[in-house]
Formats: sequence, C-alpha cells, structure tokens
Amino acid sequence: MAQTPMTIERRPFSVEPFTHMMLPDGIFDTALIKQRITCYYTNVSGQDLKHASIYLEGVGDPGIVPVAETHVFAEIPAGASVRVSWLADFQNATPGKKMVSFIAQADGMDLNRTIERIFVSETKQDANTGEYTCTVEEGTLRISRFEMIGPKSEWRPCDDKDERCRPSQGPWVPAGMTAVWEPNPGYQGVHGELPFADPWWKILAWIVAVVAAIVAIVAAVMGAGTAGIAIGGTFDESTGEVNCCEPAPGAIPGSAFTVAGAASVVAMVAVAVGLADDADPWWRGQEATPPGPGETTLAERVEVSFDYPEGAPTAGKDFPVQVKWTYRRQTDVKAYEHSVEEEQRNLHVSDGVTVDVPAVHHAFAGPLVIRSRFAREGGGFFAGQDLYAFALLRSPDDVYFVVDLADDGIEADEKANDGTYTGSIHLERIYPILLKQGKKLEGLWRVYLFAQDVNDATPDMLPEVAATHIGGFPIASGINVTFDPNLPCPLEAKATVQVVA
Amino acid sequence: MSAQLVIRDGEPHWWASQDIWVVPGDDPAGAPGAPIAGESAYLWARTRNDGDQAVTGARVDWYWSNPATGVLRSNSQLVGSGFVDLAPGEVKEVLCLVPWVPVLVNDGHECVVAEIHHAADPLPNPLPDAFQPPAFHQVAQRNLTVLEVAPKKMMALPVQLGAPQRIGGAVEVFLDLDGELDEETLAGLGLRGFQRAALDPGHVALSWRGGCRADGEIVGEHRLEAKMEPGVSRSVHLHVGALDLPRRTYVPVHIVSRGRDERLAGGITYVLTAAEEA
Repeated sequence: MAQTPMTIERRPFSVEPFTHMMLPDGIFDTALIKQRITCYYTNVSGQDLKHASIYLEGVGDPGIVPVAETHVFAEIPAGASVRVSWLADFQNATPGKKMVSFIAQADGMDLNRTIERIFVSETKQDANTGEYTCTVEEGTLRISRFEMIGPKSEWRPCDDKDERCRPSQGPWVPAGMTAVWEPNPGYQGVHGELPFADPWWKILAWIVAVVAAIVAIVAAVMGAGTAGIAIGGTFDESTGEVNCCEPAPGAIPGSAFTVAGAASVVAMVAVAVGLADDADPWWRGQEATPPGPGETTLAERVEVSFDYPEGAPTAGKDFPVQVKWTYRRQTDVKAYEHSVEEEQRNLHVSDGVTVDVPAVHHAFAGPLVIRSRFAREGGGFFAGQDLYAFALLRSPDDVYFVVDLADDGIEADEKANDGTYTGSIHLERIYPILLKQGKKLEGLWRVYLFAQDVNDATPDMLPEVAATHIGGFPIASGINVTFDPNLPCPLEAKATVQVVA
Repeated sequence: MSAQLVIRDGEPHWWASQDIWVVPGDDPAGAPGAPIAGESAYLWARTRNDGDQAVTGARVDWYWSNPATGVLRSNSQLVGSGFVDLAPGEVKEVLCLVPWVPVLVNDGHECVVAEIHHAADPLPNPLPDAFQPPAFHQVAQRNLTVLEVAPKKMMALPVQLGAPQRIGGAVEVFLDLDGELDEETLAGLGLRGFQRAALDPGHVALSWRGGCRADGEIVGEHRLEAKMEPGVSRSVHLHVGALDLPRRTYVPVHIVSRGRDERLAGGITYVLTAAEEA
C-alpha cells in the first residue's frame, strides 16, 4: 500500500489554551503548564484523501505529557493544510529541542510517521527580586528590569485597598528592559550560539514578556495560585497610560482570557519589533565588538528603551518603535560596548481584513458561517498554513464563543488555500449555554477576528537565516490598544449579524 | 464487540519477543540493532488488535530493567510512552520517542518490557509486581541481547534472579542451547540473514561466581539450583569462552529459570555472534 501523502511543513507551535493565543515564534514554555501542541498537516498529493486520521504518537521528553486524541477528517482536499492540536502538560518539561512524532493515515493507505521538533524554554521568576530568567540549552536570558506602560487605573477591576482586588489583566506596553544573555558555555569568537540554533536572542525576551502577561491575566481572572501557571507574573510598571477595554461583565471566563491575552500579545509585540527582525541587538552588538584572540565571552547585556511616536502597537499595522539600546559584551578579559538609537517598524503587516457574515441569521436553520480574508501588504492574501486564526463571537448579552478559522476546503470553507479563512458555529448547539446563563439568543452578535502568522523557517536553513523567519506576530486583532483615553472602546468588531430564532 | 490488544511473546521462549526492538543512535527511524552502553537508542513495539472493536489512543509504555530472568515492575524503570490507534485486525509499529540510554554498569545488556493499555482491553488493577508476559497478551518482554564473541575473548555476564514480593522458593536455572531465531527476531536485532552456527556446549556455563579464569577454562554447570527468599535477588553468571564463530552466524544461548511449580518463571537470551573486525 502507498504511504499516506501527508506531512508537516512548518514547525509545530504552542497555543496557550486560556487565551487561545500562539506563543512568540510558537515556542513552548514550562511556565505555562497546559499548552496545545498545534500544527498544520498538509495533503501533499494531487488527490483528495478519504477518511484520514491524525494522532500524536509521542514526545521525546517524558516531562511533556500529551492527552491522546485522534482527529478524523472525512476528506482532506489535495494540497489542503488542516490544523490539528493536542493538549499537553509541560510542567515537568526540560528546555531544549524536543522531538514529537505524529501519525497520519488515510483509508486504504499505510500510515505516515512525521517527526518534528518543537522548541521548549523554561521561564522562571525570582519571587524576591522579581528577576525573570528564560533558560534554553544554549544559555539563560536574565531580565532584571522589565518596565511596562500599564493600564489606566480606571480600567483596573478594583483598587489596591480592596481585599478582593486582583492583579490587572493588562495590557502592558513595553517601555524598557535590561536583559543579560549568559551563554552556556562561554564562547570564543564574534558570535555565540543562537537559542535552539534558530531564533534571535530577542525572542526569549518576547517569550518572557508574553508569558508574564498571560500569567498575570490568568491570575487576574482566576485568582493567584491558579493551577495552570507555574510562575508569578509581575512587571515594573512605569506609567498608567494604556487604555483598553476589559471584557464586559457577563462574559464567560474563557473570553476574558482571550480578550486580555490578545491585547497583551498585540502590545508585547513591540519587544520583537523594536529589537528588529533582520538582526537583533545581540547579533549586531557581537558584530560591532569583536573580542580579542582567546577571549571568552561570558555575558552579553542589552539595555533598551522603547518609545511609540505614533501611538501604541497595533496588530498588522506598520507602526514605528523608537529604540535606544546599548549592548555590552563581558569577556574574561574586558568589557566592550556598542550603542544604537534608531527607529524600527513592524514588518508583519496586513493590508486589511475583511469579514463576510450574513446580515441576518436564522439561529436554528443552519450554522452561522464566518468568512474572512487577510490581505498581504503589496497584494495577495495570506492563505492556508500562513496564519493561525480564530474569531470571537459575542452574543447580545456579551457571552463569547471561539470559532476556529481555517483555509482548508473542509466543511464551510469552500476551497483550500484560496485566502479565505472560514469558520462555522451552529447557534442551536450553544443555545443551551445561553439559556443556562439566562442570556438571550436573538439580537445583534459581533464578530472579532484574531490572526497570527506561522513561522515558515525550514530545517535546512542556516541558523542566522532561520532566525529572520519569525512567527507568532499578530496580523489582525479585534483588540486595539491605545494611549488615548478619549478614543472610543477599542474592542473593534469586524462585522455584526442580526440573529433571529 | 471487544478489543484484544497484543504485543506478541517470543516463541518458544516468551521473553524473546520479536515485537520489541531497539534502534541505536540518534535517528529513531534508523536500522534496528544492539543498544550501546551510554549512547542513545530508541525503543519500538509492534502492536496489534486481534479483537473486533477499534481503539483510539491506546498507550504503550516501555520499561527497562537489569538483565534478569524474572522482571518486576518494582525493579524496572519507565522509559516513556507512545500512543496508537488500532482498527480490528490492524498491526502497527509504535515508537517511543524518549531516548533510552542503556547504563554503562550493564554494558548495554538490559531487558525491555512493552505493554499496551486501553480501557477496552484493560490490564488488572492494581497491576501485579511481576510483568508476567505469558499471562497477559498486552505485555511482552525483550530479554534478548546480542553478544559479540571473539577467539581471544572470554566473558562472564551477571544475570539477576529475582523473587517477587512475598513469593519465594526453590529456583532452578539452566541453559538451553537449542533452536533457531526466526527472521523477524533476527531483523529486530540487526542480524537479518544470519545463519545458526554450531556450538560446543563446553564453551558456555552458569556459575554463582563471576570473573574469568586466567587459564581460559570455563568453570560452571549447565544447571544450577537455589532457594530464593521472597523479594530477594541474587546473581548468576553466564560464562562464555573464547569462540571463533564464522561471520554472519549466530548461536542462541537461553538462560531459563523455573520455579517450584515447574512453570517457567522467566529467562534471558544471549545471541552470540562474531565480533566485527576493526
């Protein structure tokens, strides 16, 4: 029998299950106990595949414990990429590159085993000093100062004197940080090893920022000490100027995570943008400070401040970030410094998002179908496995439901890889949930879109080339972060639909 | 409708399962072979569903333990787990992606157990201390080690005799030098196409004492007896004399232990082959 012609073309990525957001560059982190191992599986044949099943066979780290689940597809069109995921416990994972094996099998064909590698980092926070560390096999990044522009006080759920007060849900916009990379072991020559031999060192700082934000959000919604997070989660807030909608009262808990999580992912992307995609301050600092022969580099500190001349970061927009950074290389002989002041711009942009939903939808007649398109800058559309996307559907009484969006030519999606990401939800199935909460079905529903790009680096790339391919940047977000409190509520619906019974 | 999940026992020696094998090296999809002490290896199991009910998400667990004629959960280490879906009548190979590094103390000679779990065909709860592969079709053992011999090389290999908790008694240990290994088992050892060679029985023996004699003489018996206290282990040593086997041939040496009720308590098989020339 022929082997099932399905394979994974892009590195599997982490999706945090509380917020539904992809972690920076898809990297897994042990600070978040539960994560979904997510990947796109592609039918690489020219034929449609019938009755295909996909399951995760195993993980090469006994500290990562997946839950068995088999995804079954009646048909996978030729060339289509289907998104599949598995919940896994990362509490006892160790940092490094870990193998994961997946099995795909279609009717009348032999199974196809695909072994991929995922990247796992280990973020911790010192409860006494507040210092974050992010450890990978190649070294540890220590972040001793993490200044954020925090939420305006009026958006906080309560004040500090109220004993019921919970930590803020953010969002936080990065204002500055001091990060020290300690290579393991120290190295000679100009450049050290990249984390996982792939992403820039800055990605670890971005991971810490997003992980800390998610941890704070979970703690804010669920209470401190919540199962599911393994670290504290605090920042040095410098100002209270960020304005952003809190999820409305009555929303189901999951939506609070998603809205707040998306806001923080959008805001924290400034770390990645400000530190540049083509070469980050560590790489550029290394090039500018070649050590003497025989010297061993022991630590590399980057001190950076961020400023936003055109306002807060916006998903998918070409926003500028003014950065000042100083790189300091400490060798066993002496120290070297290199400073830069410049403007960086977000390169992960979209030329616009469109959503197509019916103006009026009969709740019990059939599923509500949401069709969306994400335009690329300069023409064309993101398609297939380019994006990880979902919609948040908000009922008239502010109950939220997550709807996955896919461009796989399956069910409501008409054609694979045509640039239309489609999702559907049958309101008949969620009606009991609304009834139970005493919420109404009929009325105006709102649709919010979220999308992040997927890293397209391939294993055969040189590390410094792979490092320029970064995933997890928000391309579209229903949440807008702003510094201006006079602007209207920035929770921006891309479409509305009138639901009738 | 029921599922029957099977990892086959060896035949006739149940501890030499052809459904468990090792891939030495860093590539889990590499060729089967003998594990090397201190170096990574990957474990595989061939699973099948002889029932008429499909199962999804069946979990396969792999364990390793010191070379012993009776392998117990209490003296074994979990290596890792993998999942498999099995339709009725289906056979699938399952990979343990957690690298297994055979410990140096045993020079890579270790025993591997694989067992498959699913609610549709459950193992007893609680699980007994002894794996008892012959009693459970879900459990199999690969107590099968390739041993490279050379004309000027003598060996004495320790083998553990273990009595389960609360069960003791007289144990008889003996050598069985008969039979051949099937092609599937040989392939799993990286010995595809090898032929059975003849062996002078005087070149192997069992002894309670380890170490090799300076004069090259093999000391020991083909049959030993011992009284085992419950939960206590002791070592017996397989002595292998200097052998000049033809290339691409093998000799199976089965060490069999039998308890007081004449049932086979367990065993371990060494497959002697000619050492590769440097």
